[in-house]
Amino acid sequence: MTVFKDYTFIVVALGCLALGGISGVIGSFAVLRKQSLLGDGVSHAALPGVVAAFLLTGIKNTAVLLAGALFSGLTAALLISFTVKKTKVRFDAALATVMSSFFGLGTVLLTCAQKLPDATQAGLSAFIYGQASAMLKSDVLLILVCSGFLLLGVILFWKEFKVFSFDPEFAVQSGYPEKPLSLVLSLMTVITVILGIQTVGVVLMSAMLIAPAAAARQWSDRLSVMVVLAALFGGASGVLGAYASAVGEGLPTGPAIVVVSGLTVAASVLFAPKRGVISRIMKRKMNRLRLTVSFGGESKDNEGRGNN
Amino acid sequence: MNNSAENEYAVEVSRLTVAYDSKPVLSNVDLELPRGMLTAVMGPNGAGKTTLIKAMLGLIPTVNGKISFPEIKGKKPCIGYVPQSESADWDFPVSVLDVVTMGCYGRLGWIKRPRREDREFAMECLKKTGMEDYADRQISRLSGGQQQRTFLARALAQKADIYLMDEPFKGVDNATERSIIDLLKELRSEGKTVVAVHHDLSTVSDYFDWVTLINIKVVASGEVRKVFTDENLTRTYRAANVGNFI
Amino acid sequence: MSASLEIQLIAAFTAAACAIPGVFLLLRKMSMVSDSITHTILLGIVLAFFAVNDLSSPFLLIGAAAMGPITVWLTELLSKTRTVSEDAATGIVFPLLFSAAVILITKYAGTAHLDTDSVLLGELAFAPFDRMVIFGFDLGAKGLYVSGSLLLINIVFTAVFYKELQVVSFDPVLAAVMGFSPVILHYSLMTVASLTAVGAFEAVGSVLVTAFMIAPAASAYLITENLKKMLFIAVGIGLLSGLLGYHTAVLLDVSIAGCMACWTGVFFGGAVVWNLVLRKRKSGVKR
Repeated sequence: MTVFKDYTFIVVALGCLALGGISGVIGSFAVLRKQSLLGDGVSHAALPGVVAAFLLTGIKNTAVLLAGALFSGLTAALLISFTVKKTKVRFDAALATVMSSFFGLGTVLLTCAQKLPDATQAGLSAFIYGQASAMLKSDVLLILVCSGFLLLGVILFWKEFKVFSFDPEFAVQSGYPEKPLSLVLSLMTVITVILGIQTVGVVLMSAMLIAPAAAARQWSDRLSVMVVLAALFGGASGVLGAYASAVGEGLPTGPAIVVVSGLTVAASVLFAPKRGVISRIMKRKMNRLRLTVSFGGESKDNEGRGNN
Repeated sequence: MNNSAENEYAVEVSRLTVAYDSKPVLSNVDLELPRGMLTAVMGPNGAGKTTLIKAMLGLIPTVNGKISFPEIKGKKPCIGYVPQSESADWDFPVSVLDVVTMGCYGRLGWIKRPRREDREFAMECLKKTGMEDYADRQISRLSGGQQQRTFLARALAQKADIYLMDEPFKGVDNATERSIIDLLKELRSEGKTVVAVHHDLSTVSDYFDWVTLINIKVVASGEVRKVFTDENLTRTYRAANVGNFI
Repeated sequence: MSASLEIQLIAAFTAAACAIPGVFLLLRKMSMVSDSITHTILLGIVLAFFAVNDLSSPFLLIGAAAMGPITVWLTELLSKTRTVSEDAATGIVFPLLFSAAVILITKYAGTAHLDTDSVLLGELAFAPFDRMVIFGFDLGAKGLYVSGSLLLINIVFTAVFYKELQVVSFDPVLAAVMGFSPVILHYSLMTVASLTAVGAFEAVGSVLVTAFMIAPAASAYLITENLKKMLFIAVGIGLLSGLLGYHTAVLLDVSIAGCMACWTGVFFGGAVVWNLVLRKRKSGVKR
């Protein structure tokens, strides 16, 4: 257990804990608004921003790159929003289109950057897979500070977010300002994604946002409980993933976190009371028993004759 | 089961039970719906009406029971389906004529393309529902009543023997309603069978010959003038029935 | 045939081939599935590699292509439990499978060089170097045959099953009632899309396959209200993006695939503007 005394590990684990936690919280709203894949889209769309920031400033400092990522991520989110509002193109198609063309732009800029003398290829790998194990204290500090602000935002706007996520039409009718609220939520999602890319990378970011929230949803119908559980699940996945990575030689952190997250979802989907699959199967079997017993006849387990 | 040469029933349902998770939606339904007549299926919300239609189409798994469509002159009858207009994707890039032509696809089978006579036949069906002027229009540019009539024309194009309809009169204006019921009566005179989920109590006696009152279980089923009584209606629409199935 | 022409043809064929299944994916509200299956290709390759232990075996590509329908099936399995929504299920399943692939690679495929970067990014510029040599005859770049075959497969599949794909995408209930199994058509489409993605990723990498599948389809969706025209326009935009992408990339000396993807984005932007202008004009006339 010497790993726990290792300074690097503590830094990494703390960063993953915070990221996992805040992803769970913000992800809850994204999942409820049926915008789960926004995380996937924004993380891909962030690439051109990252590279452009590097090209323009010549600095490889994390904060600068993240600022670039934020800018392009937000632009993408706004473009998607605009497209969905003004045309018949639906959210998933707009998301796929914007994110992939932005990523294309990113690869173009990347090939520009690679021609510069001090550029390295490692940057892109880190972007795609995350580099949790290379997290510095300064990175973790940034994450903690941002998470703190995001959490503050969630608490302040709790009432509005709650109504807006569950029933946007009702929210609009009740006079909640739809555009600003939507913008704020999107902004918070983008910030979370940009922060999270450092840990798990572009490809896996969507799981960070969705999995803890999806798992938490199985255990409670109340938003407050769901959000807290999502934070716990996310944070735990982060730490466990970091730990698994530390002790399993060569096991990359991002994928480890995602696997843990995935297992939480599987366990929740199966075992949660009421919503869980096993619980529902048992209830169904008991009811069939009651149905056939009351009609005193054979029960054919007819699983349907048509396509569903 | 009656094996006479020409079965007088178009649809036979026996001991049909459908449940979503632990909640029963249809319980031990026994029905024999007559051929060549207009049948209304009625009941309160959640009574299982749409579920009954879907079960007849073989679209949902059942706990128990059997549904059969007796043969007409030795052949299996063709079932036409007219869904509620909300269930369609109206932004899909097809025209009204395209939608109605789809009704012919079942007869063509796999791979064969629709021929000119299929498209002409589709136009005929559109004329019957008064939609021929809209043939080239993309379907999102239609009103609710026009959408309904498009789906009806599609069922006609299927050359169906039995028409299963889910609330065909919902959200349509009076003129459309009259034209639809005229068309249904024309179908009846051709010996076709219509089974429609219906919501408007005031029009049942005018429009339909047969009515099935359902509230998870069958409350009553038979000729309108015999079955459509205050007593039966009270039993059907009384809320206590829902859930009280044992 | 010059290397430049070969690359242009591969680019054009690849983009055109992707646009076809992309149209149906978009209409069936499965746009992000394209992103999903292009990422899980890696797991298919890894598992196939463990089975045959040969990096150049064609079995690898079969494994990769099989992963597409499997990913879709797993996603639907999860969403059928009705505990998570479809989009959430997508966003959980593919990262999970991708993570499994990355873990397997780093832990157990250490000696074999599975270049994950090239899986994700591809590189068209190197395509002419990979030749198709039969009996000592150099028949051209292998990529040309791959992308050409993909285009052919997609065209044939769509042409033969056009009405089935149309009715199943528009009204699966009607399709089922008429005897066209929505399940069979669904998974056939997924298999073709997956095959296309596998063939395309070698040229343009996983992520950009989404750009060529969905963006041209989305542009066409805004330009026309007819399915046949939508297919033609999407393919046309794909071809144009391929060609323009190549020439811009050569001009600026940057990634070809990236430029191609940018062009699909540009066309989409154009389609959005066109659509808005057209609507404004129409509502103006009505008054």
